[in-house]
Amino acid sequence: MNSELGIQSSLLLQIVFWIISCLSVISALGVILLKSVFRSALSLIICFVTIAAFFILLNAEFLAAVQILIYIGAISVLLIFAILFTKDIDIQNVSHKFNLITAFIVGIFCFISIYVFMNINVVDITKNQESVLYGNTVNEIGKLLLSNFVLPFEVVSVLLLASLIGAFVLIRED
Amino acid sequence: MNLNEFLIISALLFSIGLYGALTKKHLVVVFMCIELMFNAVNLALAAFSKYQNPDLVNLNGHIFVIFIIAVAAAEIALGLAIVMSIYKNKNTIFITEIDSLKK
Repeated sequence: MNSELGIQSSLLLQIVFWIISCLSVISALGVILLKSVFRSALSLIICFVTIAAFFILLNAEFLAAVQILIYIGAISVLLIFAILFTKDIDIQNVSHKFNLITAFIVGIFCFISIYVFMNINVVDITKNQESVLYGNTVNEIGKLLLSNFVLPFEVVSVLLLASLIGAFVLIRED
Repeated sequence: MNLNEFLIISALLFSIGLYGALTKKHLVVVFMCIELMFNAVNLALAAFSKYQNPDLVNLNGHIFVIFIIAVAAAEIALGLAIVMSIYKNKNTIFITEIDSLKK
């Protein structure tokens, strides 16, 4: 009974994983293929949501919350404001004239990386993956941020402060 | 659902973002594609953090993702401020027309 339930839930997780994967790749393609810049920004928001869903599938609930708060709550709004403040919002999402050779090079890069990732041998490190699961990652992340990673934590806070002051100075009317 | 599938999705998203960042003319679209590449890298790091050696369990991958998100927020705030400043001064948003340093 228990193993049957486990098989069913893993099949369900597999189905959810493939639905999210298709949605993620399609919305990422929409960012570069849609004609209107505003619509490609909306497509990017869908891609951010699917990344948050991937984080939940990976048992990283805190990262999913951070993704939704920062990317969907702040960065998407900044991008949409930047699109709305610059001239006409239906300006065309155009490319350079040398995009074919770039597509060729990026395609080669993509195929090589996918080939490498398909043939990577992960059998020995995933055989016991159930023990990796955490009940509550927030406690562990908080302890790590204030013990091992306290110096990068403080440096990042100074970086954020400096960049926000810099943004105000650049935007200010004078 | 194993490490390979997450890495393949991450590689696809990274390639799409790289193509957009290299070919698009609109500055804000270039920033959007850079954010897409950041997200692909974050997905790969979270996947590595889950499927690691069980003897060495830690959450360092999650910490890396948090720092990458913080740096991406700083980058997007400054970058969009620079975009608005360029738009006020030169009245254009296409990166092919912002070529003062070439002249």
